[in-house]
Amino acid sequence: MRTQTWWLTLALLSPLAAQTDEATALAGLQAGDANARVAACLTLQRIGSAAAVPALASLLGDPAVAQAARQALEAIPDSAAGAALRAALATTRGAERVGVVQSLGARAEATAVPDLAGLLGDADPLAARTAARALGRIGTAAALTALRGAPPSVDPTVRAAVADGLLLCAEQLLASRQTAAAATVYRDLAAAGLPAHLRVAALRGLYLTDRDGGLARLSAALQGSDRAARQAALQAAADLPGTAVAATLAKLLPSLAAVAQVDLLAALRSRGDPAVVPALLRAQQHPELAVRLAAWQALGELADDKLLAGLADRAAACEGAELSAARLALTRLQRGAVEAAMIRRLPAAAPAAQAELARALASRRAVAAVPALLHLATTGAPPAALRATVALGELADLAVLPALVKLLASASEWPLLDAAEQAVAAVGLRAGGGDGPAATVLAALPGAQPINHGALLRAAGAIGGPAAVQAVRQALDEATPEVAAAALQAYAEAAPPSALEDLLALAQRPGEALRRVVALRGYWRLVALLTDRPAAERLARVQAGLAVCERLPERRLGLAELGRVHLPAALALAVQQAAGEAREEAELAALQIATALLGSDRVAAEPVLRRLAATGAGDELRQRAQAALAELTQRAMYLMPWQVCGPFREPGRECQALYDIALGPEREPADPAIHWQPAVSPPDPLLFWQVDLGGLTGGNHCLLYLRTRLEVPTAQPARLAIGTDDGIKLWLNGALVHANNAVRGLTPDEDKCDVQLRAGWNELFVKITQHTVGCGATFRLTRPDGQPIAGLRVAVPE
Amino acid sequence: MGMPRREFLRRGGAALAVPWVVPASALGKDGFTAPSERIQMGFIGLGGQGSGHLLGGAWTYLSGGCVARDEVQVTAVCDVIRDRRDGSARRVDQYYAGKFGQVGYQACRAFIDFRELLARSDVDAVVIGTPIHWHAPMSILAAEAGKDVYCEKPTALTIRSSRRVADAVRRYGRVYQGGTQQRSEYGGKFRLACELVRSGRLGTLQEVWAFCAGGCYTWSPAGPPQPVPDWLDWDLWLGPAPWFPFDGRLDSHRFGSDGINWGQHHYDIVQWALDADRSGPVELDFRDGHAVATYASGVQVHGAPWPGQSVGDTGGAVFRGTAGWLAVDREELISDPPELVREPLRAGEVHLPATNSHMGEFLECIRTRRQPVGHAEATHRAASALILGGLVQQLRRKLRWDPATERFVDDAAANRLLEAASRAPWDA
Repeated sequence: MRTQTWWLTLALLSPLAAQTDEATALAGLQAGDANARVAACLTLQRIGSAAAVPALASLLGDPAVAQAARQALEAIPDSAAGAALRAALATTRGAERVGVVQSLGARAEATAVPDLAGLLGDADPLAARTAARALGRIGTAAALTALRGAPPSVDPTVRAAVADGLLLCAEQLLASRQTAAAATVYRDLAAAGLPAHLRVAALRGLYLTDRDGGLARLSAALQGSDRAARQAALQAAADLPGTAVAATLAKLLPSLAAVAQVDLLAALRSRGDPAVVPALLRAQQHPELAVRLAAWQALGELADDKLLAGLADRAAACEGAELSAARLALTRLQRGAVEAAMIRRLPAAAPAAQAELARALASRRAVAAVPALLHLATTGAPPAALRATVALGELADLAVLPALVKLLASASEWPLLDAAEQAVAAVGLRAGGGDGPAATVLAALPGAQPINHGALLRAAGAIGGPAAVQAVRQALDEATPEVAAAALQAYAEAAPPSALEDLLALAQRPGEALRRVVALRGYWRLVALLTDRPAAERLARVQAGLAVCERLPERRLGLAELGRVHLPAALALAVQQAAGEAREEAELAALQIATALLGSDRVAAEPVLRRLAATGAGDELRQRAQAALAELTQRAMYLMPWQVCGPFREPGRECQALYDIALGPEREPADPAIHWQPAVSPPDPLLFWQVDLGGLTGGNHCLLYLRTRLEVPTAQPARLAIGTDDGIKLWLNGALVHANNAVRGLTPDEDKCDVQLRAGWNELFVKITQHTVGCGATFRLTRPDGQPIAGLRVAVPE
Repeated sequence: MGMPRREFLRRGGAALAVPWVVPASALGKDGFTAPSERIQMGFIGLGGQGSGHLLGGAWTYLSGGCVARDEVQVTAVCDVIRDRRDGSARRVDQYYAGKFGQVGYQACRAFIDFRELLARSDVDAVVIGTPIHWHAPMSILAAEAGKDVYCEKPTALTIRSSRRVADAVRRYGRVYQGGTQQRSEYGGKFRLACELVRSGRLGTLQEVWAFCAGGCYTWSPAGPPQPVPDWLDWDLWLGPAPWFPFDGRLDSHRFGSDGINWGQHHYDIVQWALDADRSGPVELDFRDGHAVATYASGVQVHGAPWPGQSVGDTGGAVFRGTAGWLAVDREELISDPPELVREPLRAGEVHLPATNSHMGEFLECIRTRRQPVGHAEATHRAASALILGGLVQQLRRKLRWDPATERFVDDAAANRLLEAASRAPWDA
């Protein structure tokens, strides 16, 4: 009966539990059963008046209901509640008395200060600590006096609690604008020999509140060797009010150690005062890299357009990490008309600075800079022209494409030619790709020099579209070798999957071997794109490609694709290929396939893994095979494979409500249209022993069902260790043997369930509920003593 | 606005900013946060979340967990469940034994009582991954003990306790990161969404659909009493919650209601997008079966998924303005018209602090003493928005909220619900 009462009572303990009136709740307080009194307390938290106080106070000594009674007394505004709590200090003991002290603090019960002051010296350190905290929350002058007069305690936790109470008092003094009084509290605490973190808190408060000497103290602390003081000073440096603060701190910078400069630069940055920019510019010349980085970071936020020219010149002189920081700063400048200033500066800057400005304009997505960048790309010195061309690739639109194509058609130097090709392709693709933009590129082909002709073909191929692919395909037979080679390269890189057979044929065409190589590489590129095609089709493509390989590099590419085909036949092919010249890649493919098959075809995978673990080429491969085998051994008792169906939903029902609703295959009679499919494991192949349902849920709050079959030679007891995300019901041979309506993440073996297996085949049927995020399950079957079951076989229904 | 939701940005997308901090590794030797000093960490709560942060796993977003970071030394772990406690300590020691090539290496102490862990001088920072009713009191006690804190969500169950977390962190100058990792992870999609909203890409923002209902605390039903197993400290598991007999349930979220578990992620992003990291709604109401929070700007935030746009499986938010809408979740950032998210962020538009690892940024901030992107005040305000939604769902009437005083306006009855008494001695 006690059990039932607890259940009923606790079900009501939400903040707004019982909707009832005060008289009814008061009657509940008089009930004989303690648990009914708890529920009544929670109601009185919401609606109780002074009339409820005596009855509530009478419960404060009862461990079963004291917390609930306090919750009500804390909420009732009438002063009678505070008085009752004070009175209870004399009538309660131990944890109940400490609870009363907590509630006096929660109510900020000023009248209780004398009582609480008396507790500061209590023999029970817990009572003393709680009293100190309560006094801090009360925070009146009397509370402050009481805390200051606290008797010395040998217990460090009591001393810390008193200090915490004083800090709370100081904050309340600040809130009521008694800054000087607060500073006094902080000053005394800072000198009280407290542990470092309390001293930091006191010093920070002191620096922020001491109007006469806060800034001077802070400055001295930054330059001194007192670690706690420096930490407090840096915290206060960002928050200390006053217009002169930033300038004063900036003057300190050169006198500080490098690390302190970095920290102070961060504080100055967060103050957001541009008056410190001259100091930042000096810091940017500091010998220590970290200081220069911090200076650039601050300059990016505080410098304005007037400094732009100088910053661009400085950035151009940087290298390494500092160059990255400088570029980021130029990208982040926001004060003033920065982009207009950049565009104005572009023609006059030195080439290296021009390059940095072009880069920054691109990063800032400054489309207005396109005309100036185009001018620089066509007339600038090589490094600036190159960077301007790259920027145009990021910023220009279709209207600029003819000009870029003209640049590509006339460029004669390789870096610029390459940049122009990339820019043309990028602009064409951003405009949507296809025949429209490609036509602009193809129109420039007639008369172009061979090197430009080839680049134009490659750019057109990248933009794509039937016309470009056709033009590139036709150019394969051009008489000019450079053009034909470029066309083949473009075709290999741009042709759609429908060109698979064509590329395979080109890979076998007599003539120059290099052309066959390029074609075959294009073929492998397309095979890699077939991820949504059936595995058997991908295997056939891989076999066809491997059959025409003339060189090891292309065979290696093919074997890389083979490793992604997770079929037993692919495993056999990989094993066969391992006898040839590409042993390492073939064995790697075999390892990948065998590991992926562990969950679904252990019979095929295990012997291959054993061979690789013993005789595979290379330590790493053998170790990976051994690790997979070890995982297989360790996880041998996890049941795999499974079939899954779902998700199933019921409008308006969430996860835990769905738990007791029969849907899908759980319904009688079962819907014949239900589609069972193989359950998959997580992408990490070493998690083959887990069922990953996350890809099937299609949202939150639904059901999925799993099933499998297991065969044992004799009837026997067994133990299932189960992990599920989220809840589970599990039926063995039609009988419900385990149920847990949980909302949780996947923790293997979290639930335990003892079952009786029958000789021969046993049917496992599982219902999984999905709340939010991931969804999955693990099932480990052992003998009751945890040992493996001899002769166990697992197979999904036919 | 009937755009198919799959029309989203796939390439040439908005440039995601690189992290904008000076790396600690660039600092020299002469300082009190010398890079050669490892951050000594303690882990409190070693279930799925805590052990993920410690040792790696789906939840950590840090490959190999904190133990695998060179700048970290895990010195202590704590859990009231024996296997989790001892197993984690063993695995940490095994990891270090392998890393340093010293068989039998022992570095990690295991504690049942987190107060013992907090009292240690060889713990600089703690990761709190306990059941949710412990999050706020433990964060406060950790800050008071001078520890930096990474705390999982939900970070508090009442508005008052949430406020006290932020106050304690500020008072003691601690670094605090709330476990609202959508600010950092998932390729920066949430950050970019907030930047675009704050930059006015949607025109005048009108309404937000926060995906999740609000949530608050509830003392959940207990099942039949059972003997307390010898591997569990039941009293410490309960901590500030009311005492009742052990019933076999150790769910992390058993004292939370409605959207309390998942909602803080989404309200956090809504708050960030509304530039409300130090503020909150001014009015709450219950309409059409869900909470509606109105901000001072007039923007209305619905505690439900937008009926017209089911954001992905992991939840998210939909922002609607006069110029279109934008939807974001952990997989996608989409908009109608699509150009709203396709056009990269310009220099003059709002740039929020860019991080790409929530735990990594926390570790970085421990050294630099900056406050992370999920700092205590922002985390408190996100928790408040969630809890306010939970309260209005229960009161089912209009409430006015003052974000400055953090009290309901002229509503003594509602103000009674801002706090819950803690079981002694867990008053933090």
